[in-house]
Amino acid sequence: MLLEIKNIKKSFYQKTGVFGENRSCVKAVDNVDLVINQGENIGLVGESGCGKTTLARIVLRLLKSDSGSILFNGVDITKGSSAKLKHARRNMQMVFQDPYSSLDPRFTIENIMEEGFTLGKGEWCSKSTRRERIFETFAAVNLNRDILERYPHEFSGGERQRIAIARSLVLNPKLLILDEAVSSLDVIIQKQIVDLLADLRKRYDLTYLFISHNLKVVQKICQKIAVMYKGKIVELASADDIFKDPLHPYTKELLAASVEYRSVKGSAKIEFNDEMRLVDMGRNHFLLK
Amino acid sequence: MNKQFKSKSQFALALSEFKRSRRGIVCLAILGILYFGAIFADFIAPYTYDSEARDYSYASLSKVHFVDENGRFSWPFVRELSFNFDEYHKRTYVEKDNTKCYFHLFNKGDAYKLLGLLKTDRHLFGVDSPGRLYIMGADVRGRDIFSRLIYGARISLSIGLIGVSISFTLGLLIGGVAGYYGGKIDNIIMRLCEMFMMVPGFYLMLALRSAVPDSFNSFQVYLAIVVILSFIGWASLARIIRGMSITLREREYVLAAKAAGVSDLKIIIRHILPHTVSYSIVAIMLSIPGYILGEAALSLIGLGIQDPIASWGNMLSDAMAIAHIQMHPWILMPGFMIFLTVICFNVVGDTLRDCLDPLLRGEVDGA
Amino acid sequence: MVPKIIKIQNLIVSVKQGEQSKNIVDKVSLSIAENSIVGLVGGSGSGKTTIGLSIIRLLAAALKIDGGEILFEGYNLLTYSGSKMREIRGKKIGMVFQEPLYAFNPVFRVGEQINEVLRFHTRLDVNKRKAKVLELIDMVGLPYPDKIYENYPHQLSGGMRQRAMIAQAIATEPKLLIADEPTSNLDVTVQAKIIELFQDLNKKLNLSILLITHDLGVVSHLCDSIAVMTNGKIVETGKTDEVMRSPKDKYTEALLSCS
Repeated sequence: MLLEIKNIKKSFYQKTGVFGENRSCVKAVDNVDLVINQGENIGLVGESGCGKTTLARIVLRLLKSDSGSILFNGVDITKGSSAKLKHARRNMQMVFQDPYSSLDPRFTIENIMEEGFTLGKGEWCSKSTRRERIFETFAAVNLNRDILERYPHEFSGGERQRIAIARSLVLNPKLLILDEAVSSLDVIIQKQIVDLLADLRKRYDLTYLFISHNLKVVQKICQKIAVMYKGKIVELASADDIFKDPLHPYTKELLAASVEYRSVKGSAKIEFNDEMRLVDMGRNHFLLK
Repeated sequence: MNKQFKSKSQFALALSEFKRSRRGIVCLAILGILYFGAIFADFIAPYTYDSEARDYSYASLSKVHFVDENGRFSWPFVRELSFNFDEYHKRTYVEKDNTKCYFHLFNKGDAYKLLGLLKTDRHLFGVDSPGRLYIMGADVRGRDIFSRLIYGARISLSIGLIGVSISFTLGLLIGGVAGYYGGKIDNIIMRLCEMFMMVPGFYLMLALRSAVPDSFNSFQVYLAIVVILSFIGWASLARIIRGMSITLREREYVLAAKAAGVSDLKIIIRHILPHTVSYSIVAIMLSIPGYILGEAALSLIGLGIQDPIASWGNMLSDAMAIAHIQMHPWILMPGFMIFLTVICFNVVGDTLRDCLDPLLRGEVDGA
Repeated sequence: MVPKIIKIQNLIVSVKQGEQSKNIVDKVSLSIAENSIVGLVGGSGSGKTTIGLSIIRLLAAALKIDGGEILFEGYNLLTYSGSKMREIRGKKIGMVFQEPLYAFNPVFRVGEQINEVLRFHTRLDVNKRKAKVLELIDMVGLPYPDKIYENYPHQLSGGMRQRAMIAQAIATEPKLLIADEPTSNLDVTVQAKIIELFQDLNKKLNLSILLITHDLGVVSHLCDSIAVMTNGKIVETGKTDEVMRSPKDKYTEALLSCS
């Protein structure tokens, strides 16, 4: 077990009214459990606003959860010292959706790559060693060595996303969280990046948590798919099972839309209550019931 | 991609844009000359700021002669002056015949230390004593206004730079921290800012000035004024920087840095504040005049830099009486200098804004 | 032969880079039959958006049309004056952009902004205009038209804004709708609904649609014919089924294998 997410809850409060007298509460992530095993890519699928990005940020400790715990390699990273957190962070990296905004436009590529080296005490390494490592990751993502002095605005979307991936790889992480990492790219570049990810996975023994709203893309990368709706995981199964035998009405709607471009009114009737749990329907096919 | 094409940072792009604006370049050059003059004031000014000549009170611009009494061309010289009183008890000056005080480059004059290091008594130009060269006239004690303007530039021009650097460091850091962390910290800092902004600036200035002890010497007063002025300026900047950093902290590269475990302070300094630079540079340029005017206002009403030390403000206090302006219009020179400096800073600031705003630059990326 | 609503012939658009100029649309010819949906497909930077903007003559200042003609109802749009072009833009050709948030002015109500188009281009009175706007909002499948009318753009979700923009674009019953990546920023479920809306409008209003996108999947479900574009040139055109079944160009093949 590489990562274990247990009972994570996160609500956002919104003040409404002229003086902020009314507080409304949105449950962005509502009691989510998820286990990621080493080498088993998981796709987290759902529409925008379903809480998938919030969950990813909680895992990376960019946001604090209201309750619940996250175990990375068996160590709880929601509690305890920042040293522990730092160690976990080295092994968990994130690639963001928009390669145009995830690279600071004022930094050269070298600055951007160097920033990936957030090393703890006693881990200092010389500039030439860091260079070596940067070039190694460049080679892995098919980038030239001579781009170090350049600025992000000189690159195309696909190249930028490669740079972003290279940055997340410099510290040799175990888990890579990809938040809509290919959605803003056009299909041909999407394919290239997806192929690249498959290649990197073999080379570096990576595990992906791949977040997307598009089932078709997720299918290409992930063995397992978790479908999220309104802060809850409603269905969790192997990618094949999700595609062949979707059980939850929302999953059916998603499938119809992304494969056949057909809208099915499935989610209109979905209602939740607190007693609902993910239940094994056989062959590790979990459904929220 | 063309490899010959040299990578340019956004700032370099803006700079090349700036070079194309003639207005901006001219104003920048004027400012450069002014600052150069201020730095080498001892050398450029023919007299020191406190070199008095009571016999030359309100003497007008010196008449430089190129032709001697025999009608021949001669090395330029000035004549000594003597004065009579007219019916209004105003001095009228007449040139004494047969006195010739020749003009010299690298003239010997009052001793000083160049840049505080090199002891010398050479000035860029001057005339033999006892004659006096007034290229912009003299003030009430016969001090050379041109010399005093150059010395005054030291104070008036430096007060803007130092004041701005203090208030911007404060404003950027405080605003950056408030915007980045948000929540309670933000709330407290912003209320504090508002307290400062609520008090009308000039009264706050007077109140703070009155807290400065009388026993301070001129340098201490100068420092006190700088601190007072920057104390007033930081709040409004902090508010704007805070607003910008609230939007900047949601940028993905900030999240990416956070995800990589970069510390908060480092993120603020490396990822948030640099993006406010284009705003800040313009704001700095446009707020320097405020400091210059603030100092001038304080000195004008006698609360700033004290005579005999020259600043454009206290030189201008001489011009408060309309009669003086009518009779000796050259005492308005410091006002003109303030005007020129303020205009130049504003134009440079405006030009910079045009250059730094990529929307106005009309960049097109791809189709 | 089906009559064409718009015919683009040998269109050249160039961008000036310093001293040199580069053709980003290079001798493109494309025609759209009446009452049909045509997909213009290509990667980013292929010049497909530029073609859309050329038709309504809203190119960025750095871009210049260097040659060719765009025949709309038999007349060359490139020779039209500014005021005549404005009329065409609002009345005969509608446009839908990728990011619907920027297409609406945030300080005015959505309904008023749709209403404004009618005010400029039709002679309907106030009451009729409002009724028409409500009808339009209903037509694009937005719930509670009177409520939507009073809403500000930020109060609508991405999909709803996209629908509102479509309502605005079809308000004057144009002959042609240019949709530039109308679904790229939307969730797949919403995307599916927008696609159905386009099909619906095509049937109901006899609207011709030029759909500009990089997603062959969308095109294959929606369009009657396809034009594939890369590097400023159209490399393949044909009926959707034929192109999807047996692509002749390498780039089309690559696109197909990706989606």
